Amino acid sequence: MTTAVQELTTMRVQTLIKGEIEVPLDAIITFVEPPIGFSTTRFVILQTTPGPLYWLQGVDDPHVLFCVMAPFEAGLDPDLEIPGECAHELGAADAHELDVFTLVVLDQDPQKTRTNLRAPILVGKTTRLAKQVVLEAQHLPVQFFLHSMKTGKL
Amino acid sequence: MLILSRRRLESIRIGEDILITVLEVEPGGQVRLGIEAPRTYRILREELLASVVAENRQAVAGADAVSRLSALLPPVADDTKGTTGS
Repeated sequence: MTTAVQELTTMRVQTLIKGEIEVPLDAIITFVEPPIGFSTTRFVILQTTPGPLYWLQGVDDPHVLFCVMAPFEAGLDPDLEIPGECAHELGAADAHELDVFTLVVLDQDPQKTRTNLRAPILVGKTTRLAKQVVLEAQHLPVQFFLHSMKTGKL
Repeated sequence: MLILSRRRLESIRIGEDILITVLEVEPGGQVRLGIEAPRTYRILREELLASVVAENRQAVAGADAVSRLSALLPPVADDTKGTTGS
């Protein structure tokens, strides 16, 4: 029954920004705990523009859609001090095996577009397990305004 | 709400595995607490958790999100690579 096996390697996902798309199962990210305040646990990462901004699209609800930023790709080095146990919980040996994303609020006023550096989303690079963590480091702002970036990458 | 009075270095135990100790009571009214609990518990200052929840809700993007994002980015000179799903 090889055809049945092949059918299971992708799934169709309804997205808010690209309509229905076919996604490889191994691209699906599973949160060990849903993003704080939400109940959706399965997401897929999409991109519509080059650069450090991506979309985190809920697989089971197209209306759960976040814009996220890869802060290191954006030229930020926010010294996140990710505890080792966060990595272990996601099946990663250490923080180097994690992708880091931060939620972006696309405010109506572009000057108020901001990202939450205090509560990043960590994704195991190989395990695709994810979690939003609230970090101890008090220097990290919950509201980091993107217009204050001088990297030229945004 | 259960209300208990405790002095410095006195503790409260919650269940089997959570211990909260009053470490210091400062004259200004600030209280320093030591908390021992398994790592599986998320322990946060209430106002920090509330601000993360509020910001997460604000971060939910609507159907106009792509245009808002495009408005944020400088115009791209040429056809671009690196988009997924194409």
